[in-house]
Amino acid sequence: MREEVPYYLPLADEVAIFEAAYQARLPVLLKGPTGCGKTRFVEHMTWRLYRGSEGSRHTIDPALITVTCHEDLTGTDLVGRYLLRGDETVWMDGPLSRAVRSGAICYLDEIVEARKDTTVIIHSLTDHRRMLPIEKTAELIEAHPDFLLVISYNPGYQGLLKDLKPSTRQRFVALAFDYPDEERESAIIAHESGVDAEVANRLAVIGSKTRNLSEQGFEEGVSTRLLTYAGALIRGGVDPRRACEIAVVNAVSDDVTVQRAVADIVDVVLP
Amino acid sequence: MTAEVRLTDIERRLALFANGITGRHHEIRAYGDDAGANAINLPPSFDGFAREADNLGAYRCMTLHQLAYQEFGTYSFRIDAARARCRSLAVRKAPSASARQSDYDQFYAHFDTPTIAQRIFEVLEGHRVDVAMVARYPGIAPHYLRLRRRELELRDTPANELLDRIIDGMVRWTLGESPTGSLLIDITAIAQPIRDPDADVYTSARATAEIIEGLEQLGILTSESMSYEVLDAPATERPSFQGPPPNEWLQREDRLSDWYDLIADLDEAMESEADDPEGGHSVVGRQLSDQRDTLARRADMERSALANALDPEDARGRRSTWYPEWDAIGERYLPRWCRVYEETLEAEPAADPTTLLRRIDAHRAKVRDCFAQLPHEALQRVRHVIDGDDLNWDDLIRYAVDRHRGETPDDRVYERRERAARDIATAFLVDLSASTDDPIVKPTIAPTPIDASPTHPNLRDPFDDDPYLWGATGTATADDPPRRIIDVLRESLWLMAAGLNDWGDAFAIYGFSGYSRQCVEFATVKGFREPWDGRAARALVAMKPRRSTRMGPAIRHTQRQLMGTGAALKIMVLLSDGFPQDCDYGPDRGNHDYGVADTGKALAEAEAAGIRTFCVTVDPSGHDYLQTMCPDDRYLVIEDIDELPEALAQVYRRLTA
Repeated sequence: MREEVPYYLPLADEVAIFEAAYQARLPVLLKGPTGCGKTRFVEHMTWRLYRGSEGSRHTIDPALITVTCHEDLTGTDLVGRYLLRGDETVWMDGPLSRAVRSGAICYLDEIVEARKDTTVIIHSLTDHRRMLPIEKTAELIEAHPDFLLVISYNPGYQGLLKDLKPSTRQRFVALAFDYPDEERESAIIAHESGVDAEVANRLAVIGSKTRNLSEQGFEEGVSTRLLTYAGALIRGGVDPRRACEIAVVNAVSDDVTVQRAVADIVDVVLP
Repeated sequence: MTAEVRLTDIERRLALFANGITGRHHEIRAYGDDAGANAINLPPSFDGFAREADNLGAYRCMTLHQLAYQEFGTYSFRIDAARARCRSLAVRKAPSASARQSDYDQFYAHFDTPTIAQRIFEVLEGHRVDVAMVARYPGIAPHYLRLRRRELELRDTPANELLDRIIDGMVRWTLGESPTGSLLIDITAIAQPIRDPDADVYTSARATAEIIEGLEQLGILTSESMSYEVLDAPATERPSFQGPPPNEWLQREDRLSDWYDLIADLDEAMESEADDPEGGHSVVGRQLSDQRDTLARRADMERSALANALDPEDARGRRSTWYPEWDAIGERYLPRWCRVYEETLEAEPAADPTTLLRRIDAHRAKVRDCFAQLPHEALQRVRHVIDGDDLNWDDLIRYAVDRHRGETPDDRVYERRERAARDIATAFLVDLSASTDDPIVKPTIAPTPIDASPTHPNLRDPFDDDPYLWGATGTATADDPPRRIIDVLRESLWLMAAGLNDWGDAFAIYGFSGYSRQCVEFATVKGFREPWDGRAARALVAMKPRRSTRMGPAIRHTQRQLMGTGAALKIMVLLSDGFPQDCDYGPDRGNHDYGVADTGKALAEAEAAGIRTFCVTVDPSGHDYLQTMCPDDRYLVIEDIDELPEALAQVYRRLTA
């Protein structure tokens, strides 16, 4: 966990909502497109709720345990497994078990990527029981009072062929995220990449225009993260058009015509 | 090597560029083509500059200029606001406005010389949006300046007519030339505010009104000038790179939406008035009602006028896309040849699936068996791996033995379960030509009458063992209408949809028909993102025979839908009842070789894009043309149409195995 509060520019009332959810220990689902700031938001909120708090929570380390889910992620990966150590087999907690025991926030990023049988593991943690059964050690861990489960997924490209089961979805309060408007995105880019306001504004315009093409050959619009990367390259001395070519044009699509159209947008927006 | 750029080569790129800039779908048209409401009109080719990149930039600039009218408020012009903001306009008598007159028509009608007013306004407004365009999109500036210079070099000397010279002088000023002569200096001084960053369409309107006022005071514009409109004065027209003038119909369309907002406000006000116990029949209430009725009539007239003026197909809200066609005679692609209109097939609320559900009963078990043989998303246990869910005892013992013998043990002591995933997207493309209305020769009569009268059919799942649904036995009644090809197509698709929905594989159902290359109809019954629910089921029931069978563009459009799914395995199943044919599908309507060749080419394009294609036809003579359209293992001719449901399920199983 960083010593300084991770930068996050609120877009609506999400900070207050998350704080209220944490006070009630309600599991939180974050929905939104790639690179719109979900992970940063969780980092920011964790800092506010743990490092920024008085009392015992302040000492929990790490305060945030993030798991990036993928299609091969198993329940074992989350809960733990036996390892060989010399002639012994030793139980090693997985990230979820560690968070449940320590009282950290466990953030399962891109949860729908995980196998369906994996997501069932979290059910008993997300209702009044707040417990995690570990079959292999015959344990039933009661969650630490400070523990909170946060999951995220992208209803855009993931929603096309994958979705959360209703039995999982309905265990969470849901916060919807989207890309910020040009003004706020510009502020974020300027802060994160260190470019001046004018360059940041131009990159934000490129972002908003390119997102208009999100169903024309690429799964999602260009993310704030990519725009920040472009800003960082520009800040590092790379020509702005070349920086956008690397960070935006080549990244959003493999369709050559779409790439050229995005490059055309970049070309007219940049001075 | 020529630097010429042809519009056909960059059409999609420019359309995407325009889509990105405005967030709306735009069609790129060559000058002279029919212009739709959202069309961008460009020269068919451009070679004005020595470098290809500069010619490309010129196209980009021309496109952006036309989009700028929309972005910078040209279409939001309202005559009331113009009169409120332009003193020189307000002092003029407002013309009587008819319902079909646009705000711009009303603006020009303020002047004795409306044509001149229009020309001046168009020059000024074109320049205003260019200035705003360059400010918003600074990267276009080099291309814009290059085009301006070229325009100045190519510009003809104006005629002797004073008005021509004045307008030409204004155009030259917009192109960067300093005005000469006191009159032109005065005129451009009046126009100067259009270059301000906060200038809007009313700035151009005000400048126009003031310039006309000045010309009238100088006696340059007189009643004789009214004949100016009959003169053809190309030398004084706007810069050529600006394309045609703003689309008046778009402006009227914009205004129409304002009217509907106002009608909604009036409805709300009338409701409040009616809620007032004393106001129900008040004078205010009657006035509101009269005002609302008048506006509603006017809006209806306007909407009708718009529907007639704009492309009637677009007025129905359908989106169109152009596709090339393979000309087998010339052995070349005809670029941008076929226009595919895409629409969502609306569910018919009254559609009754009862007969269909009864019919598919006979096929239910066989189709279900077929699906049962599909490999499930299986979890396979993989042993001897370095990382996994559990320790494997055999490997563990081997590890311990090796370790005790002093040998380096093998770390691969785990086992894990791995998924064999089904990442499949299938598009069923159904021929909805008129011939699918033909009755099937051998009608089936049910052995027993139906004794139940269902009222709540399960539209989602015919495999559902609902006693109503499946308790009602039999295949058909003598009272049922004669079965047609379309009926069997619908039944088969229903079974497939229900099975796939149950299975979890992604699928879409599209129908196609149309008439001529300009109008290929592509109807979405169920898209990949939509669920198989009551709406989709009723839309399937609503599939009806339509017109011709131009398969090539429909296949190309389906390919586009499939590519958007990102699925690992993409499948296209084409269901038809005959060969491809249309009124202009080849030089001779009676000869189908051209259509067969184009269809074969479209299928080959899909295969090259990684899509597995399969054609199923219920036409007994299908072998004759299918064997030239696709490989032998990629088509099936159904001899007995009643076998179609099972055949389709088997085809699916084979394609996804």
